[in-house]
Order: sequence, then C-alpha cells, then structure tokens
Amino acid sequence: MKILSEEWVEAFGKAINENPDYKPSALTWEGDMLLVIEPSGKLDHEVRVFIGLHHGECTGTRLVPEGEEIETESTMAGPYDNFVAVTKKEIDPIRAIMAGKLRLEGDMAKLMRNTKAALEIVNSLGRFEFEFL
Amino acid sequence: MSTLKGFTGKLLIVNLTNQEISEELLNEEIAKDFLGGSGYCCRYLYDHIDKKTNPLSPDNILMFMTGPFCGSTIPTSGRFVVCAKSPYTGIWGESNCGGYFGPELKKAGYDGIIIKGASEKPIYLEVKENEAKIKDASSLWGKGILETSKILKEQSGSNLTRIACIGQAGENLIKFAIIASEEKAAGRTGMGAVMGSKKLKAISVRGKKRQYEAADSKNFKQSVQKALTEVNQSFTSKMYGDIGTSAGIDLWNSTGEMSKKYWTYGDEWEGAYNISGMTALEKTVTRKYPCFSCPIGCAKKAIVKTGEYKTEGEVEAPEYQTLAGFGSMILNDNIESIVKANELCNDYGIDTISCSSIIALIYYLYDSGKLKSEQIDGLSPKWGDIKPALEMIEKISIREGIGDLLAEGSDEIGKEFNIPQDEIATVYGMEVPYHDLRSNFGMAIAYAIAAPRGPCHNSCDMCTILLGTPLEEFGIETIDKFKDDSEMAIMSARAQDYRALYSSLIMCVFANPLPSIIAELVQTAIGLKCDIERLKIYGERIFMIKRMFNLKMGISPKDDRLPKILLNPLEGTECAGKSPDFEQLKMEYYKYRQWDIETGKFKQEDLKRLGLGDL
Repeated sequence: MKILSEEWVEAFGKAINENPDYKPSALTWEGDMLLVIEPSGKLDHEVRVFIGLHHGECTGTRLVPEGEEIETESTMAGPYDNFVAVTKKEIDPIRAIMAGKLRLEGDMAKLMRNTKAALEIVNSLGRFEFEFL
Repeated sequence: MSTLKGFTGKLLIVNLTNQEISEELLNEEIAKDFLGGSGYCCRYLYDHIDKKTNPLSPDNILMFMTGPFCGSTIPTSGRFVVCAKSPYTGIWGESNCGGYFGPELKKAGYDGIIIKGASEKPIYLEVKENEAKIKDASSLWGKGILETSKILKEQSGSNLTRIACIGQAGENLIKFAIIASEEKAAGRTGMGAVMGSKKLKAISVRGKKRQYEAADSKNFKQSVQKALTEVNQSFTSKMYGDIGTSAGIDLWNSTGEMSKKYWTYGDEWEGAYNISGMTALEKTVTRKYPCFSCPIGCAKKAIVKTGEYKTEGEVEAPEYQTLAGFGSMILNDNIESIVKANELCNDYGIDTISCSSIIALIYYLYDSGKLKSEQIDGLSPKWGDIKPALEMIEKISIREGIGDLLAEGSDEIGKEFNIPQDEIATVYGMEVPYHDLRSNFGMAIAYAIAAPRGPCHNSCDMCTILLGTPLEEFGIETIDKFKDDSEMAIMSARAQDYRALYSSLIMCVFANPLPSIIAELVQTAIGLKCDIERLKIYGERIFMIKRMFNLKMGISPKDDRLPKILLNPLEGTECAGKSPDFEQLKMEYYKYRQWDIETGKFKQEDLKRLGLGDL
C-alpha cells in the first residue's frame, strides 16, 4: 500500500490501536488531531488526515477532502519530506517539532502533557509496511 | 559619553568601607573586546581578584552590570548580571537576572555598579538619575525579600522603582544565597552572600524616560523585527510562553532527562503528572509575568487558595528546576507544596537548585541509613514527604541547628558525615541542575568540563540544543545525544562559546534568533563591525577570560570531574544502561580547545588570536 492512500490511512488507525505503548500513555487524551502534509519532494498537493482520539483509543481515521472545513483539538503540519524523515526514524519526532520541521498547534499544555502519546502515534507508523511516494 | 552606542558610558563606583561614591567612564577597550555583561565584569575583575581573595571579605568586588542591548526592544535583552568571586565555589561567580532592574539602571544613566569594600552597618544604595546615596538599612535587616522590596518601593513613592535585594539568607552568608529583583533571581553561585558580606541589603534604582540609542537606528529596527519574528515563531517560545518552563516536566520525564530520587531512579515517574505544566495551569498558575522586552513570558504567577500550603496572594510560580528539585528529586508530587517551597526560598533568598539538591541529599542519606534522625534535628526525611524539606529550608536560611551545616552546601555535609565525594552530586563544589547527563551526554560537558561558573544548564544548554534547536550558523548541530566522542565535545564547546556571548550581550537563552541576526544587532546597536566569524571570536574570548580567571583562582583539569552518582547507569526509559565515557569526552574537549590536559595551559598563539596575549 502507498503512503497517504485510503488503505494506508485505515491501516494507520489500526496500528495506533495495536500499539501496546499508545493506550497507557494516552488514557487522558481527549480531542482529535489533524495531520496536514504539505507539498514537498514527491508530493505535489496538500493531504490532510483526520485522526480521532479519545482516552487511549483511535476512534477512526480518514482522508479529509480538499475544501472540507474541519476543526480539531490539535494539528501537526509540515512538508511531506519531513514526515517521511520522521517515519523512517531519520529524525526524532520531538526534534522535528522543536526545530520547526513539523509544527504542532493546539492547546500547548495539553499537548505537552501528552508528549509520549503523540510520540507513540508517530511510532505507530513503523508498525506496518507501506511504500513511500 | 561613550563612542560606542548601546552603552551609557558610565559606571557607578561605590566604596562601602569609606562610604565614597564616584563615577568611572566605561572602559571602551574592554567593551569593544568583551561587549558588556559578565564578559566585561570578568575582564575587569581578572585584574583585581586573586587566589587569596576571600570572597566574603571586603576585598571581593561585586559588580552589577547590564549589556549593550539592555533597555532596547531586542527580545529578552532587559537582563542584568551580578558577578564576583563566588563564595560557594571559589571560582568565577556570575548570575544573570530578568525583571526590570537592568533597564532602569540604564535609564538612571549607568551601565553598571561596582561595589567595593564593606560597610560596618546595614545599608542600601539608592540610585537616581546620575546620582546615588548610601542609606541606612538597619530597619530592613532581618526582613525577607518580598517585604524589603515592598518597603523600598513605598519609600520611593513609585512602584516603578526597581529593587535588587537579599533576604535573610544573604545576611546570614548562606553560601548559595540569591539576589532577587521583581521576584526574579540572580540565583546561582552565591552572589547574595557576597552582597550580605558587604552589609548591602538592597539597591533601589529609578531613572527617567530615556530613548535607547542605536548606532544605525533604521537597520537596527529591521534587525529587531527579524529577531522578534524568529523568537515568536519558535516552538520553545510557544511552549515556555503558554506553559512556562514547567512544560519540561512531562517532556523530560518521558525521556529520562528529569532527575529523580537524588539521581538514583531512571524510569518514568508517575508523580510527574501531578507537578507538570498542565497540572500547574489547572491548579495554581494565574497569569504570565514577563520580563522587560520579553515576548515569551516564561515566568508565571501562582496562587494556592486553600489548604496547608495556602499562599498570601499571588507568588512566583515554581519553574522547571524548582519543580524537579522539590518534586522528583524527593518523589514529592504535591504541586501546592512546591509552590510553598519556592515561596520560602524566594523570600529568604536562597537558590532553589542548590537548596533542593542539598535537601534531597539528606533524604538520600537518611533513606540509605547513613544519617539518623538524631543527627538532623529529629527530622525524618522520607521519600515523598516534603514537610521535612520545608523545615530544612527555614533552618538553612537562618542557620538554625542542622541548617548551619546545610547552609555550607553538599560537600561540607559529605565531609561532616564521611560520605564519599562520589555520592555527592556536585562539581566544583556546586550542585548540578536537573538535566540528567545520562540522558544527554552533552550535559556532562556543561556540568564538568571548563564550566565557567560551575555546573550550569544555561552556559552550555545542550539539554535544549540536542532536543532539536541547533545553531547551525555558529557550527552547533543537533547530534545524537548519546555520543561521547569528538563531535559531542566540539558541539558542546561551541555552545559554551555562544552562551558566553549571550552572557555579555545579555540575552536570555530561551530567545534564539539566527546568529546572523545577532551579528546584525551587534553591528546596528553598538556600531561594531560584526559577522558570524566575529561573533565566534567574541564568544571564544569571553569564554576564555572566564577560564583564565578560574585558572588564576587555582582550578586545574583535575577539577573537571564527575561523581559516580551522576554516571552510574540507571534502569528505565531510553537512557537505560547508558552513561558517557567522561574521560574520553574530556580528552576530546581538551584536544579541540588545544589545551594541555595535565596543566590546563593554553597555546600562546590562541591567546594572541583572541587578543588575550598580554594576560
């Protein structure tokens, strides 16, 4: 399966729920997240991925069509190449955020409390196989 | 008047022994080479202080100094620094402080104040526009910092009068006493004790409205705007602005960098949740309390409305170091109690890092059976119970009972109770801050290799740089934090240089526009030609003068050491089983600096290159 395909988005949600380290770290997390993957490298258009999150469960994932207005508790945004680097573990996710390679927006206090949960969401990408663009 | 812009060109000289006050022109040659702040102070004090100088005698000189950016709109530039030979370490002492005192001093017409000698009776210094008076402080002696500040502001008739003062701890020559201003602190290295030894209770300053004059005002404004944009866009600014440095609790608990149980516990600590930034926002924090010209606003006010730790109104909220010190270091997860501990330390005037580390050492020794209750005034310091800690803060501040020994620091406690040095978390005689070096090997250098003022997380902030905030233009990259090779030595040495530059300008380490913008600011504000290469020379020169000062005080490469308690591998988190090869790091560091690892001597050509050949 190809990254950012509908199949990939579904598998991503499943991987979060199957990640044994995610649930215990996200028991108090309430609020959905939007991934905004900006064009760079082999991606020529913006892709948005909705991730439903509630008390240690991923309640669903979906691609958000262009033009749809959507509000989420938090947003992680950045160029495709930077997402790829994090996914391949070439860059540590915290470093990527600190260095501005990925932008984490939302209630900062809530996000910092859930640092580990956010990392486990990213780590879940390494729990299933897929192809990059 | 100074030909250099950014400075007022004048220093106030106060001799407390003969009660004489005079003015001295800013030494432009020193300012050109070392800018202002602690670099200026160190070059000045290098000629006046030696190994024999007793830091608590009238012979020690205490300097309050601003930087050339102070009073401008450059983000976080409103800081001042206090420097002297440290009574705690016997080496270079410096501590910088936010608030509003620095800009007010400049508005009064002075770049700095040099305090010499000592008074026989308690006094305070009142500084107004181009004048100063020594006044009786007998009625203030014995009072805490909050009351002292309040009284002096009331007496001056303006809440805009800025106060820098000591509490009872400074009066009682507690070796880690602070100088406080607007509830911010010049916290480390015991500058409050030096002030106390001179019977100088406070300095009050009130200037008049004065426009900051830049050398090239048009381009200066553009450079400031660039700096502001960068600072405002950074993730750390947002994190520290929204939450405060307490945001680090969750982050560093999960990575293993937050020190716990007197450095003996490596796993995640569940109690961190209860003292985290989010919990603080929910339970105690009331508002931001930013320093002059600071767009970040990491400082917060807090209140505890009910219960045994109820505060009298708003107090300064504890920062990361204090939360770790009175929290994870003794496994206490009651945030209100930490607000109380912070309030006590701030009012008595003691450094929360040294104080909490000393207290955690007592908990550790008690827990391991090396100390009994009867040796510590009947106290029973058990992990998780902060009450004995609160009692110890009071005992230390007034030197009561066991507090008299604790007031001398961890090393003296070790000597008294025959505890091996390897079990005591100090370097150069001072307690290390709460970034565990086993989770970030760069901190081994920050704490223990040529550290200008002893172990410090600000004069070499690898804890933040390796988190993902490199300074690539200055040659500082974010590398693997578990490296203990030449690359780590080089990155850390460069970070020391860059933060030495910051200590002279003086800027807060949380504000990090590109170094090229800092170079633009130096050029447009002061009028000194500047670029990245010149910045590097400034940084290295300022760092080197502090090292030279310390060598003059008798320090040697043998003092670059770490106790085993900081190196023993721990279980849990990503740093499980890890520990740097310190001797290898040290060797690589000395190789990079081209210093002799046996004697610490420098190459003469290096000194010449830095313009230090005559020293």
